[in-house]
Amino acid sequence: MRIGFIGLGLMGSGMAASLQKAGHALVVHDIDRAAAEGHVSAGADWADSPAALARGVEAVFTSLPGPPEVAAVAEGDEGLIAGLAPGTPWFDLSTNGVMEVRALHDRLARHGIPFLDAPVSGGPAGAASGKLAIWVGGDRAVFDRFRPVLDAMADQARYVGGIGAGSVAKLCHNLCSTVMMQAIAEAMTIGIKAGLEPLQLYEAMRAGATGRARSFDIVHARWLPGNLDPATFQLRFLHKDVRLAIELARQVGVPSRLSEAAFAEMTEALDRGWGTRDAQSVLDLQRERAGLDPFGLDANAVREVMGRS
Amino acid sequence: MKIGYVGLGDMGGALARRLQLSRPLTVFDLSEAAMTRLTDKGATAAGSLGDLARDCEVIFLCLPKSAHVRAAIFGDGGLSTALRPGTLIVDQTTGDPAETRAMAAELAARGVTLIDAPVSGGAAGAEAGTIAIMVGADPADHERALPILHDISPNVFHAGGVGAGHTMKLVNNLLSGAQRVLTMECLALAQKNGIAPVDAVRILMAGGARNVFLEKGVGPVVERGDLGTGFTLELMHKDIDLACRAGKDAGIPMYFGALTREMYQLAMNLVGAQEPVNSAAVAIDRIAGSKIVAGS
Repeated sequence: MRIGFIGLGLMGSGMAASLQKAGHALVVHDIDRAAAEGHVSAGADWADSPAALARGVEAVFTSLPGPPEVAAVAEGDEGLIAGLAPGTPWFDLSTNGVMEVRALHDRLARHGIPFLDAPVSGGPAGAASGKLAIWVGGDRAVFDRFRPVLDAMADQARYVGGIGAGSVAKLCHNLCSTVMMQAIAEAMTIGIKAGLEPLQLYEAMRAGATGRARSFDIVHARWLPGNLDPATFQLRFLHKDVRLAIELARQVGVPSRLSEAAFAEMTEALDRGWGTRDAQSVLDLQRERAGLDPFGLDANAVREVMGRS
Repeated sequence: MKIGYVGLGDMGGALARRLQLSRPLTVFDLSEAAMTRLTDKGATAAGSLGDLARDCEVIFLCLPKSAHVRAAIFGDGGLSTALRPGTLIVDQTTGDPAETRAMAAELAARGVTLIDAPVSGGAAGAEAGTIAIMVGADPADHERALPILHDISPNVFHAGGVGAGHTMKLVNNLLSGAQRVLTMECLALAQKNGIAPVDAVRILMAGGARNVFLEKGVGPVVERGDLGTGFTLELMHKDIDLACRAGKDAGIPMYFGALTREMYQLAMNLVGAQEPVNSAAVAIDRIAGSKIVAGS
């Protein structure tokens, strides 16, 4: 398949190389001509502009820093919109805003061009090796048609919903990643100031129940399927553990804003009379205040997801 | 009726000086200099806490924490070595309500009454006789203390039973402490958007966000970089910590309280626990990259 690829930075170069290795004919473009050298010597064609790149390809992929760069390659006489034939899809692998990709989708739809947001996760190493997630939002039929191309770049390509859904998934994922890192920083600074060696503390935490699990596994058996009674671990006991931990933070003088917020959540849940329910009942407060009904997920369906990746 | 005053620091000294305008006092402090400031104005110096307890029917205390109160009453050479039944102890410390109730119960077994009567309004308010006094006491004990408290300030409020004065003081300090750091953050927001902090304060004072910190606290900080003296970050943190603990005991999710406490902990770590409370502005400036402290 003849494919256009714009943006050959740390992420883009790995993904473009994967497409070439899979036998696709690439046309490449980047604001830095030198970034394309490796790809061109491996057989890719160079295009002087996004518009030139777009002519004669079956799909275009972009991997760019953010919203302004994506808008810049779309617009103008030399932009993608000027060059793309109706029906030729554009997959944007950049991390973009949800409103931005929806607006771009609507603008391109007027030219008959399917636009899909397809942000990725896995870092430069994953982009090079193919151990990569691609979360795709947009037209399902287009996703299905280009599935083999996506699979050539990533072992975890997922259709997640209509336009913008890929970006929602990516932003939620990165938000979790950030808050988890902050939580680790709080816990480690408390533990180290309380006298543990950093590496011993880190190794100890990795050996615990949460340490052994993959990051998101913790909620699969209880909160997701709404399986909160009877408890395996009662909320009142977790409340006690967190109380002891933040008392330790007090004693050693470590500011712990996230932990305090989590403790306040649990206090609120105890006030609801949930002390003997499962500890994850506390998470239902957030669901309630988001205005969401119980998710109504079947435990078997959740287990199937656990087995798929 | 002989009255004693123990703890003559910034606040206790000011309260004792005010009380001394109408009542003869016997005083005690570990600091000679603090004692002299009262004896120069006519107070009698007690040789020890035991001597003071022997001489006085009503004993005021104003110390840094409840732990100091416990030591002054029950510790070696403390008041309890000589306390007589019928003595009234009035604790003006910003204390821990639970600890205050515990000490009151221990003293009640010996026929001694302890009530709490912390204050809010600063040393200047104490000297001027305008300070707010919040009393935790049984009604009869409150009636007994009231004429003496009125000689400190007419603004005496009976908050409830023993410990209620300390609870109310913690409620007060959490609200004023949170107001202080939130105001500082807002001034950083204004300043980094090109509005001089002095102008922002002037505008806020005329609008709906007017508060006591804007009115009485922030001026020297934004005008002259003067962070003041006395009340430290650590003491502020202690009060807010006690408030959050009381909240926890009452089953209240202390979202704002806990965040406020962590902001003071952060300020203590950044600029030093013994720095004056308004040096939280230095910490805010450092984390926000702002310039709300004049001359910084």
